[in-house]
Amino acid sequence: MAQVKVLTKNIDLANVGAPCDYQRYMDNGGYEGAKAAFAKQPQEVQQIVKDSNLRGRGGAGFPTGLKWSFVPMNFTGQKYLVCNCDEMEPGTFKDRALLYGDPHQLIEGMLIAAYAMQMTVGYIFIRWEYRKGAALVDAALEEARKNGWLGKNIQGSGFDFHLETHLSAGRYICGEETALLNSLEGLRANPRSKPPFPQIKGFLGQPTIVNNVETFGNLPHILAHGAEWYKKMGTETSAGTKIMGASGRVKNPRLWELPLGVSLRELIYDYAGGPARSGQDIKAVIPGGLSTPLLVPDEFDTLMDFDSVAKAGSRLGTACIIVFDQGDNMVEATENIMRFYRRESCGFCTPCREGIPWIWNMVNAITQREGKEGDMELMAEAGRWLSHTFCAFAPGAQGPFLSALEKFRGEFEEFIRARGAA
Amino acid sequence: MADNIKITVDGQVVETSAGENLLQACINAGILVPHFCYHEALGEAGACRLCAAMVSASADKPARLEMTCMLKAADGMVVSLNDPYAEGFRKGVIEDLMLNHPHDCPVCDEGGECSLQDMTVTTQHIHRRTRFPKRTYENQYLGPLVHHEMNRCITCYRCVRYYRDYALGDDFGVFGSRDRVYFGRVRDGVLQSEFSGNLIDVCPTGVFTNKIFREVYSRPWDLQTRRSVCVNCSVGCNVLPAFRHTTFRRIVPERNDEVNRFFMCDRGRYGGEFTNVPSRLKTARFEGPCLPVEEVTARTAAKLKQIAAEHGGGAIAAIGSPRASLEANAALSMLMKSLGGRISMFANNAERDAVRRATAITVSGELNIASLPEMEKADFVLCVGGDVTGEAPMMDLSIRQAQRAGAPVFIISPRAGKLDSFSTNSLRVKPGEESSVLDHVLSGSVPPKGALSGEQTDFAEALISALGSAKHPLVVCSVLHEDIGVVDAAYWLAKRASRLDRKCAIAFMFPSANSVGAALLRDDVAPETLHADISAGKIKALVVLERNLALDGSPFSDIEAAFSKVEFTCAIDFHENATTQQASAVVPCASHYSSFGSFLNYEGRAQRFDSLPIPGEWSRSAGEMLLSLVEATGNEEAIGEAAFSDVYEITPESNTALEALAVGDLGNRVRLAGKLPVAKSPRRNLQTATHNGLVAWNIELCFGSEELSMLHGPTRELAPQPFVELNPADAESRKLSEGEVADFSADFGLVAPLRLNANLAPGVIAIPVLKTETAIVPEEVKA
Repeated sequence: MAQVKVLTKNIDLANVGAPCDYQRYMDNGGYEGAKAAFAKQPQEVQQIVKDSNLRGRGGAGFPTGLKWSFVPMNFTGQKYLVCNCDEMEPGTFKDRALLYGDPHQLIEGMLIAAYAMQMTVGYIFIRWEYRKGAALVDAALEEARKNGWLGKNIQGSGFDFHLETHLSAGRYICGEETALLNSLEGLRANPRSKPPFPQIKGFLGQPTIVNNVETFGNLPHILAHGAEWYKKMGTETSAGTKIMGASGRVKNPRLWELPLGVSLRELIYDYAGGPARSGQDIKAVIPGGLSTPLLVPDEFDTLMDFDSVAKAGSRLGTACIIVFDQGDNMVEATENIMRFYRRESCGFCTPCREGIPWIWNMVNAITQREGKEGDMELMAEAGRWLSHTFCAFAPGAQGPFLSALEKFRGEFEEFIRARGAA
Repeated sequence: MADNIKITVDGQVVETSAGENLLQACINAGILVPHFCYHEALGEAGACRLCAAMVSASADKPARLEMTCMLKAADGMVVSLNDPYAEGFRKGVIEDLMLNHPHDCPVCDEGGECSLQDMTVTTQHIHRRTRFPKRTYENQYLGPLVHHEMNRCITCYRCVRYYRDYALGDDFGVFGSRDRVYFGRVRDGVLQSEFSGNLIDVCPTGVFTNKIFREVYSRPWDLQTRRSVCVNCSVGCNVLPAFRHTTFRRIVPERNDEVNRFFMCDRGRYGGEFTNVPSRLKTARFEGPCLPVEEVTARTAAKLKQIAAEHGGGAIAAIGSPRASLEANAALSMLMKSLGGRISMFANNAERDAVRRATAITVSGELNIASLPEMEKADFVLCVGGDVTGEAPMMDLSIRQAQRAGAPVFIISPRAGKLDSFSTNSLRVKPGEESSVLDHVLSGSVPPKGALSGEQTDFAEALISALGSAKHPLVVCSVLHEDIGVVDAAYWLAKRASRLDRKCAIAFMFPSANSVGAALLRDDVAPETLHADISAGKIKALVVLERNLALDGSPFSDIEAAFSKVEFTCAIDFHENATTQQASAVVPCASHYSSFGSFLNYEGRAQRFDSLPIPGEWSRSAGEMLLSLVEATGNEEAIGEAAFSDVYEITPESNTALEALAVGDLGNRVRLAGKLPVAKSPRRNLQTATHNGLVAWNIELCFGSEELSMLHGPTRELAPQPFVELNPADAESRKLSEGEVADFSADFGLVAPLRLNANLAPGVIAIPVLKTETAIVPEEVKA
C-alpha cells in the first residue's frame, strides 16, 4: 500500500520542520472543513462523523461518532471539549508530528467537534515535553483568533469557541482521559470511576469530550470531503488513514501516513526498511505503543487495523511499533518495560501500585541472575490480577508483560538457570 | 422510596433497595464482604480491590469479576463471593498489600482490632512469597492526639477521603504517587481539625493510632467497656469508654443511627481523660479529717436535719449540675424536698432564662428538632449567635455534610468560627444584634431607614432568598452566650419558615451535656435569688453537686466569700477543685464514665449510660451517694415511688419511656408537661453592656472552654494561652497592635496579649473562655 497525504498534506513526516502557518494552511484548503460544518446543523455534523466510521486514534479505537452521541445535546450549561495531547506512550510520536507540523489542522478539527456538540470552551492538554509544540500551538491559536476562527461569533456563524492550551505537569497517567480531566482541574492525576462518563460528567462536572490529536486531525478532511470519501480509505471497520511509526531495530525509524489495513510485515520491511543490524533478524514487535501485547514473526502478516490486530491477540493502539531483533534480550526489555509502568502508576489501586513493582522486582532480579525457581509462576500469577484494576493502565502493563513471558519463556528460564553467574 | 429488589449472594436471597451500593447491601444482610476502602460514611473509592466478587446481572447472564462497592444493586443480580476466581483475586490483593506491610502483628498496637489482620487471616494469606525489601517511610508528628506510623499504610485513601473530603480539613493530604503514596501533612505539625481522632477509626490498619492510649498500652481484648454517652457537650454522642482494671484507657465512638453514626470530635474522644485526673477524690471528709464515706454521709445528714430543725427548710439549699445525670439531680431535688429546701441549677439568671426558653422550644414538640443525620440532609443552614465548632463540634461536622451536598450556610455571629470558611454568607454583628437582623427576615419587609446597615440588609435579603427555595431548612442557635433574645429570634424564624409543605428544623447548642435535663427540673430557684439569700445570711446549709462554682460564671464564683456566709456546705464531686476545697463536707462520687444514669441531649433525647463497677468507696455514682444521704436523713419514703415526672416537667408518657430506657437504645425525646417560666422581657440582653466603646464576647473554644476536658489529658495542650481579640480598626483607634499585652483590667478584668481579627465585629472585645484551674493534687497523692 502506498503512503497517503490526508492529515499530512502540510507536513513532511520525514522532516517535520517549521509548522504550517496560517497563510500556507489557507492556501492549501484550510478551514474548508469548518466552513462545511458551519453550513450544517450540529446534529448533521455529528451524523457525518458517525457515518465516516472514524475511530478514536488515541489507542482504544472507540468510534468517535458514538462517543459524541452520549453528550446530552439538550444540556444548556457549559460543555467542554478537550484535546488529549499527553502523548507519553513509549515508542509513540505521531501526535508530536501533527502538533508541531500543522497546529491549524488540530484547531480546525476541534472547532468542528466543538460546533457539532455545541461546546464553547476547549482545552488542548499537552505533554510537558512538547512545550515547544505548545508554544507553536499558542501562536497558531493567536492567528486563528485574529482571523476569526476562534472567539465569539466565528465567521458570522453565531457560534463561540474559546480554545486554550494547558501544559501537563508530566505523568503518563494523564493520558487516561479521566485522569487528564482531574489534572486539568488541578487535582491529583488519578483516574475517575466510570460511570459517570466524561460525556455526562467531565471537566468540572460538566459534559465533556476528550479526543486525541489525530482524531481531531481527521475531522477537517471528513467534513471537507464527506463520509463516503473517507470510508473509501482503510478497511471496512477501520476507516481512514493512520499515522503509523516505527522505532527500535529498524533501518528507517520514522512516521508514515498509511491507510488502515496495511500489513505489519509491509510496515516493518518496506517502510521501516527491515532489521537495522545485519545478521540480526527481527524477533518481536510491540504493535501500538508500549501497552500492547508482543507480536512475533509468524504473526507479522497481521493487518494494521483495529480488528485484525485484536484478532491476533494484541491491539492496534497508536500503531507506532517498537521493534526488537535477535540481539535484544527480552528479559531485559521486560525489565525496562515494567520499570516504566512501576514509575508511572498513579498509585491508586492495589494490583497496579503493589503488583507491578513486585513483578518488576522479580524481573529485575532475574536480569541480575538472581532469579529463583518459581519466579515465572509467581510473576504470571501476579500479572494475571492486573486485569482487574481501576483503569486501563495496569492491563496496559499486563499486555507486553504476559506476552513476553509466554512467547519468550525460554529466555527467562535461561536467566533463572544462570542464577549467580553474573 | 427506592424499590425493593432481590439479589442473590452466594445462594442467599438478599432483599435490598434498587440502587443501593451492592457492597453495603451485602453488609446490611450480614454478609461479610472483605473490604478496606469502602466506608459507609465515605462511600466507595474502588482503590483497594478487595471487595471483588463474580457478579452477573441475572442467573442466565455470564458473570464477571467486579468490585461490589462500585456497583449498584439491581433486581436479579447474582453475586458469588466464594467463586474460586474471586477468592483467588482477593487473596492476591491481600498478598499485594502485605508485600510492604510490616510483619509485626504480635507487637503492633493495632493488633486485635486491625481490619488488615482480619482480612489477611480471612483470605488465608499465611505464607510470604516476596523476597524483596519493604519500603519505609518517615513518620510525622501530628500533634498530641494521633500517632503516625506510615509503614503500615495500605493506601486505601480512607484517611484523606475522611479528613479532606468529608471533614473538609485542609492540612492533611495525599502526596507522591506510584508505590510511594504518602498520607500526612506538608510538614510535621498539629492536625488542625477538631475531628482528627476519627482518622484512627477510619484507618483499616494502624497508620493512625491513639497517642494517649498507646502510651499506657493495653491489648484491645483486655479492655472492659460499657456503652456510655459523651459528657463534653450537649450533642450526646454515643461512646464506648474502655477500662483496664480500674484505669480509664480510651474512648471510641459507638454507633447510634440517630445521633453520631460513625464519628465523634476530639474533645469527646480525648476529653474523657478527666477520669484519670490526679486530683481524683478518693476519700470523704467532714470538717477536716478524712472519714469513711458512710460516716460522712451520716454526719452530713444529721447536720442538714439539725439545721432544718433549727432554721426551717428555707435555710437549706442545693446547687445542682447540668453535667450531672437526671438521676443525680433528681436525688438532690428529693433530698431538698425532704428537708424543705430549695434547688438551683444554673450559673446565673441570664443562662437560666436562655436555657429554659431553648429547652421549652426543644421539648414542646412544636418545631422539628434536627438530629445530626437530619442536619446532614438540610438544604439550608442558618447558624445564629455562636461558634458551632467550639460549642457543639459534631453539629459542625454534620453542617459540613450539608454544605458538601450543596446547602447554603448562613452564619450570623459576632466572630467568625471555623465553619465560616464554608459559609455562603457570614455577617458580623455586635452581641445581641443578631435578633434585629433576623427580625427583618421574619417580617420580610424593608426595615425603617437606618435600622440595618447595607451589609446587614444584603445578608438578610440573601438569607430570605435562599430560605425561600429550601425544602429542609435548618436553624442552629447558640445558648452558650446566655442571650434569650437570640434564642427567641431563632425560634420565631424557624416557626415562620415552617410552612405546610415544609418544616424548618431547629437545634440549640446548650452549655452542658444535660442542660436540657437541668432546665426541666421542677421548682428550680433562680441563681441570683439564691445568691441574694446567701449574701443575706438566710442560707445555713448548702449542698453542691458536681459543680465547680469557680469556673461557671455564677454569682458564687468567689466561693470563699459565698461559703463563708453559710454555716455548713457539702460538695459532691469526683475530683478536688476550688469548690470541694472550701466545702465543710466532701463526698466523693464516681466520675462520669464510671457512673450510670441518663442525660437529655440538645434534642431532649434521653439516653442512658452505663458504667463498669470499679471497686472502692469512691466509685458510687453521685445519684447513689445522694440517695444514701436521703436515707440517712430518714426520709427514704421521699424516694418511695418517685417518678421522673415528679421531678422533671415531662409528660407521664415521657416518664414511662425514660423508665423503660435501656443502655444502647437510640433514645427517645422527652416532651414538656407544663411550662418553664422564664424572664418576661424577650429581648433582654446582658451583654450589651458597653465599656469604653467595647462589648465583651466569649469565644467558646473546642479546646479550652469545656470544663472536664480541661481537667486532664491532651485536650489541655490544645487549648490556647489567654488572649484578647479586637477588630483591627478598634485596635488602631486605641493605638494597640498585634501581640502587644493589652491592659483591659479596668473594664473587663484581664490583661492579655492582643490578637487582631478582621473577622470580629467592630466594637467587640472577644475573650476566650478558658476553664483552667490550677491543678489541685489531693494530700494523699502528694504523700
